[in-house]
Amino acid sequence: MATARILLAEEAGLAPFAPTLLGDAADAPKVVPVQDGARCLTAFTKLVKARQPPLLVVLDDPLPRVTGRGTATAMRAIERGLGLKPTPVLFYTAEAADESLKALLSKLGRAVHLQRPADEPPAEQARRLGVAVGRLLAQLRGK
Amino acid sequence: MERKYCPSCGMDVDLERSLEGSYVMTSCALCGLGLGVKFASADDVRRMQRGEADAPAPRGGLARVGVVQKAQAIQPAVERPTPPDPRSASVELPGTAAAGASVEQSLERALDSAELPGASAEEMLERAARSGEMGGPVAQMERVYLVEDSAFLRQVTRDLLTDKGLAREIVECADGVEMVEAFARAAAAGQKPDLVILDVRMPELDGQQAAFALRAIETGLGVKRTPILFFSSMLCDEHFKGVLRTLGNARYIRKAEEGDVEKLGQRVVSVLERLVGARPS
Repeated sequence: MATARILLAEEAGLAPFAPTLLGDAADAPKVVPVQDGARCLTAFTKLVKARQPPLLVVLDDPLPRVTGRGTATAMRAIERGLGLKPTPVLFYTAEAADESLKALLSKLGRAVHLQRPADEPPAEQARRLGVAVGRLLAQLRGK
Repeated sequence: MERKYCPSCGMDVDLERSLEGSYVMTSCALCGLGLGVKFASADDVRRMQRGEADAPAPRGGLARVGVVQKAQAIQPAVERPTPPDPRSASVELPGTAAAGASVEQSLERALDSAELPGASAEEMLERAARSGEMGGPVAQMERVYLVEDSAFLRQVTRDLLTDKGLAREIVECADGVEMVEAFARAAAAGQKPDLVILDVRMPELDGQQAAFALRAIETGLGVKRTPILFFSSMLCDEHFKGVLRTLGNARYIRKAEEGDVEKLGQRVVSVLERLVGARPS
């Protein structure tokens, strides 16, 4: 059975928590941390080529090389180019969603935003992300 | 290493040398703009023919020396089947579904590479053909993506490429998003372009981000790198110079540097000769 994966693109220090983000159950999706938007797109395309597209892509913004917004936009373009369904996207950013991000979420489709508590320690930020991702996956499975 | 001010890049740059007939041409290693010419000494000819690319020049000269190679002449005009439009081609991803372990290994390899390899000094191509010093072998690109948000500049650049016979087919994209979509479809169908010309400032997905997305698709799908030519009015600063090196196989032309279209055209031809070996037909 193929491993379900979640791509986590951030540079806020959450990567060390990736292995335990969704608990340690054997069937829990594997969280793959990447450091920037370009690597996220590379990993995404590799998974698509292997016919194992990620369940979810979590993006911070900004990110080096390709921003979180740019990554999501490019990802949708790749999906259209390859004839794929849109992958769910979760923006987990320190800033509240401004009008431009709201417009982008609407344009992307299957995309949501959650404000990251940047003043909390990374462990707490990771815990909250784990809870949010768990709920989101449950919603996606329910559909 | 000798450096010199390049008016196109707007800063001091490393220099490249190439042997052209009896002359040594000195040009910007970044954008390819010619910055000097001198008679080649016997020593210059010996060193460059030996391909001493990284050896310091004996007279305090240049660190990177390219050996001139003549462009391969393409066959005389033959009827080729019209390639399908990459924006409407059916998509069949290369390769088959991989087992979990190999996906992991593949992902790790891709993600562990801290930096994309930088651009090596492109092999120098003789530029004398353009000036009529030699009977010009012709190399024409099959397909070029032209990504520019200004319809006017798209038209000017398209006319430039077609008038000089540099490309058989030009696929126009109004922004980086269109390009990424078309490129992903074409790369999966094995019809990727020979060159992507990218404006830098564009809405939604700018040229830099679009270029990184393009490289990500290439790495992810396991296809060769496509040469990228940034075509911009902005100065090539240190940040952008680093971007070019990280991307690899990428060059830059500053639109604002040349006042008239003809001069700009000559610069485009010169850089394309270096980047992809394309020559006017």
